[in-house]
Amino acid sequence: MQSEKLQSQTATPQQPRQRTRPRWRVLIRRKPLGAISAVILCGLIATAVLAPVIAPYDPYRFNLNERGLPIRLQPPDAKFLFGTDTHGRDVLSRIIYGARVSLIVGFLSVAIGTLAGTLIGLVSGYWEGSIDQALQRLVDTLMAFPGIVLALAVLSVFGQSLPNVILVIGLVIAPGASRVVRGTVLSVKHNIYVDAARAAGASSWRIILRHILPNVFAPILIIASVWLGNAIVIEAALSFLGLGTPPPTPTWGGMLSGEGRRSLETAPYLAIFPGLAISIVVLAFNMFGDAVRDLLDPRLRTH
Amino acid sequence: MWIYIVRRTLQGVLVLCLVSLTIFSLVRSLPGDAIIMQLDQAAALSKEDLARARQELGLDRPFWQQYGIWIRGVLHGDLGHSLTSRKPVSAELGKRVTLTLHLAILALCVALLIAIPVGIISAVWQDTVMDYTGRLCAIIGLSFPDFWLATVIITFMAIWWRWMPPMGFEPIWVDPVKCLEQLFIPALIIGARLSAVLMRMTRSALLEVLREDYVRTARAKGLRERVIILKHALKNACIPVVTLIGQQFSVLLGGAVIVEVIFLLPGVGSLTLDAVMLRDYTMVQGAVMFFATVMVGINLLVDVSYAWFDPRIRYR
Amino acid sequence: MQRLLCPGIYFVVVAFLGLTTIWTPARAQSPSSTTEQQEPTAFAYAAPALIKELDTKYPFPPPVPPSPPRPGGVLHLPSGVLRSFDPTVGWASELALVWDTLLEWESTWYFPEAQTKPMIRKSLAESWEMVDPSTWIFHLRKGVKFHNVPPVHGREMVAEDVRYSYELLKNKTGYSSRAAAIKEVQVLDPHTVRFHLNLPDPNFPLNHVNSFSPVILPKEAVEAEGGLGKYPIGTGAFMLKEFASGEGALLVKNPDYFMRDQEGRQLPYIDAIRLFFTRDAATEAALFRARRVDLMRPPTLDMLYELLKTVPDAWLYRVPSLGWLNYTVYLRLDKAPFNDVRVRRALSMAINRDIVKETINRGDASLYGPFPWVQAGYTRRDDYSYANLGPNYAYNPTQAKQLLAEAGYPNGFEITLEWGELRGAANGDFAVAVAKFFEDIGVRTKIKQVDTSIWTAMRWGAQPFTDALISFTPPGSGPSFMDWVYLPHHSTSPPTVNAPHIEDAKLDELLDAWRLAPAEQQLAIQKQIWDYLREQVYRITTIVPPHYRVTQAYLHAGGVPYCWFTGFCSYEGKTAWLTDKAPKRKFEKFAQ
Repeated sequence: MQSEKLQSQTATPQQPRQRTRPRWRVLIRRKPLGAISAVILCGLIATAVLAPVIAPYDPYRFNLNERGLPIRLQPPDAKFLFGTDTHGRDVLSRIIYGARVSLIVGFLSVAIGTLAGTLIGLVSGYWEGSIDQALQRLVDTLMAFPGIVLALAVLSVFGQSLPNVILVIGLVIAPGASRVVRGTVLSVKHNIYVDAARAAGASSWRIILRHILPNVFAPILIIASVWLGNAIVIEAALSFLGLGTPPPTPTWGGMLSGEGRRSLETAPYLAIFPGLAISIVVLAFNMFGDAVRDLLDPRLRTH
Repeated sequence: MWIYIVRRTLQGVLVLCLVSLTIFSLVRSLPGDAIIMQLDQAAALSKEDLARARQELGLDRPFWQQYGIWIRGVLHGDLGHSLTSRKPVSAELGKRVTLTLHLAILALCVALLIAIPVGIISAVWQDTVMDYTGRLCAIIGLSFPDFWLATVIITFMAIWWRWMPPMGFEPIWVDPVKCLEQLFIPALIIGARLSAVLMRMTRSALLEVLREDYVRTARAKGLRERVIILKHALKNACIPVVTLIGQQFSVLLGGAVIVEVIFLLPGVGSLTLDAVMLRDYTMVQGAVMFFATVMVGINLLVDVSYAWFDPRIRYR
Repeated sequence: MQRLLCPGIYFVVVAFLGLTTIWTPARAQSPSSTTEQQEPTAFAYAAPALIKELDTKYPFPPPVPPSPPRPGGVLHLPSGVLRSFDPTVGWASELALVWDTLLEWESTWYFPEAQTKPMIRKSLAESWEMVDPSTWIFHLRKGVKFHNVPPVHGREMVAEDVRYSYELLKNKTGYSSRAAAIKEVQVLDPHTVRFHLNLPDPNFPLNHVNSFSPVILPKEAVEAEGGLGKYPIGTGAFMLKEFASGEGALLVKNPDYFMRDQEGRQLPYIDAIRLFFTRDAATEAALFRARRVDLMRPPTLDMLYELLKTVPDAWLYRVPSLGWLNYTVYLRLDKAPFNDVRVRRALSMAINRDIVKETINRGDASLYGPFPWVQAGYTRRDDYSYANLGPNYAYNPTQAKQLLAEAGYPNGFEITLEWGELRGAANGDFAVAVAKFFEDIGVRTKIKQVDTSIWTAMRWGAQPFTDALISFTPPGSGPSFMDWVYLPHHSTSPPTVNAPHIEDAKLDELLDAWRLAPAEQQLAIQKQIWDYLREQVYRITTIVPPHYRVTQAYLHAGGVPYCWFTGFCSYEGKTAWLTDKAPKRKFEKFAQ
């Protein structure tokens, strides 16, 4: 009873319900870049989900001419809006399907990385002492490896496939995330609510879930928004080194590094379109992340 | 203060030991081994030959014995011999390290040269056209995959100007012009990306500092704006920027790998890549220990400087 | 705000995306009998027009280079990444610039229509005689000196060096297969050696001509502190001046080299060679355009075309390949279903070789059978046809499916197809095309790229591959039937030469008959073996593109035209010369 009263008096004031609806307009006006990027991202997700419906051709099909030979390296024209690649496959369809892989890699790897990082950070920060020391040494060890080398070693050992690529990128993200979470936990651990809850006899996990976790969301979301764009670029880089998703699955990174590189002069569109796709999507993620961070970070809000 | 430094150093050493153990086991779990990898365009090796070659290189001994031998060597400064070229690892690494450090420092200079002024302008004239332009450029800089940029640049430079960076690396104190010619474009590519990150941090750190009470006081006292920004605000804004540089250093070194491969630069990054591909265990171990030592060292420096600036941390 | 960004939304999005992965029209369902996609499209069938253009602009045979050759200059060549320049550590074709073997292939041998029997050029050995098929005597050239560098100081090469080298290298990677045939090397006098062989071999000189033959090394250099790595001394045309690991190497002319050209001028003409280690063809092309390298071997017509467009004064040598770099699929012959000949035939019939030609090299390629056409007696290029290959090599997916059903796989089966990158060759594209053709007949194929080193190990049989492997010629093949067919098909050959391991008693019989037959009868037996292998389809061969060699306008090869495949001769360095239009380059150290 008393603790509830205490909480309601000192809890962060929530906005009264009726004002949450019209905030969308305010948001758009205040953060136009963020709104645009949100639209782009929704479009991206829609493309990925609706790929079989939108794509004009099957991305794996060798399109043949009347002589039964592949229509190779056609520049963009009415029939193939983004041209064809060295096997006669439609580039536009491959880019549309490529959105799937990029999004899946992006979201899943960031999800895994931030989840793992959060868990480690929470445990480490809440129960300080030897667990903290041990975990932090582990994190330091992981962070001492340059990302590419770690990815190379792990993928060579466990084989090259989409799930492994996702896990590896998650592995790269987790240590950094855990450090941020730990920092937040350390700073929040001794505020009055936590002390009060502990005094009231709440169990550790309850405290973590109810009091600490909500404070951790904001930094985690900020990290996630930063890494979403990065994860896609890392996947492209891994494909470039020959470690990414194996062919013939269309991925933007693979398209960029394989034929894109080889035929850069005769068929520049093979590299331009996947490169643009990656850049626009990463740009959108970055802008969105910026907007999220600006909105969430109370210190910067006041201007 | 000293206790803090000592404690952090010991932790760093512990981390290095863990790293050495990790990489030692990791490379040995890679499928295939160095002997098999030496077979490109080579012919028959019977099972006995393979066994003998492995024995020559000490690969048949038990795990802990190999590890012990290697660690003892490391503590004496001997990183072992490359399994592919039979030459000492430290000699090879030494040459490569010079190039990568050149590249990293040049990239850092480029990044700082761009990021700090743009960050300051963006912060001081907040929410104006200049601010938005600066931030937009930064975001765009972050969005292009750098290996793509590198490939495009190198291809079209060769086509349009028939020019390629000179081969054959010389350190900057031997032949500065050639060195800069060779490293300028790769450093620019890496540095541009880094500058985007740094610029945003500079801007936000400066904005935060400019809201502090003592800045308001200084303004009230009548100090000129430029003095305030450059003398007082910037110094305090440096702290998060320095921390960020420390964190980004590993990204810097890692990003150098791909650029080194594309521009044919013989740096530690491409060495590591080749060595992993060839299962040259000793070389990989040596290179990774180098990276790890640099990272741990930089982290230590950053933490110590943090403690220097913020006395509260010293007593943790 | 909290509501807007509650984690629930995040998880919903993630779950949604997870679902979309499951709801992908799986590849197996993708349509694709290639016959149904006959949409008429305006497609410039570039290949014949382009090839005609190439034939006109770069006629064959190439014009005789001007004479006399101009001495001096520094040649820049691209090469693969060498980790060391030391024959005792590993083999590389560039080592032939510094160390010689007893014999070499004559470089005029490149055109199957002109030459059906490979010609040998005498290098360190001047003549030889057979005492009996297991005993051979070689007479060494007199006056051949090692490089005039400590600790060898330019002393003469003698028979003892030959004995020492063969002894030393017989267990080393790269040379052991050739040296294994030799039981003992005896020194009869300072310029004569006698070889005692393990098995009778009437063609033993061919053993020395393969570039994997042991090179001749001086004992003092090998046994000095630091070994050959520190003292890379041999008898070759060039001396290694600097090895810049990861970047390249600098070699300078050996002023005492024994070989002379036809007019008696001493070789080599140039002062130095700089090797650049390049990892891929795109970088090489950029270097070529910037005139940093003087020669390039573009692996595909696409790349060649790009190069010629941007370097219009370059010269092209375009030579039909004997069979090197033919695109092949190896199968695990020891596993089901590949041990069933019907399955192998079906897989071969599933591949549309015209499409492969088009995809890989814009149509500029020849069909290729189980081994080089010329070794089966077909000397005219018109003979390289589907008719002469038979039904197993024709595109026939219907019959392929039938064969699979007969063999017990009416619903196909699943395989993994592995491949590795090789400096610009279109392996990846080939793998994608092959996988697609296999899918069309119901063989579900998963493509897996492996490290180049692992892939090489698989090609050489040092490491097993899973089911199928994209590969080239049987490794180590020289232009002789012995190298190309006998060794890679005989069951007694070690798995590193006979990869994947073929064990066929009837084939062994035929091969042994060939080996012991007198020279005039061998061609007939070769044709028999050809017919047999066409039926068995142990390795699924498809096409072979020509060799392309592009050189800068200021580079000429000497009296001996050129070497089109560095693995088997070193003439590029030895007989090349540069006109005065070549860029002025220094050669004190590798870094210019």
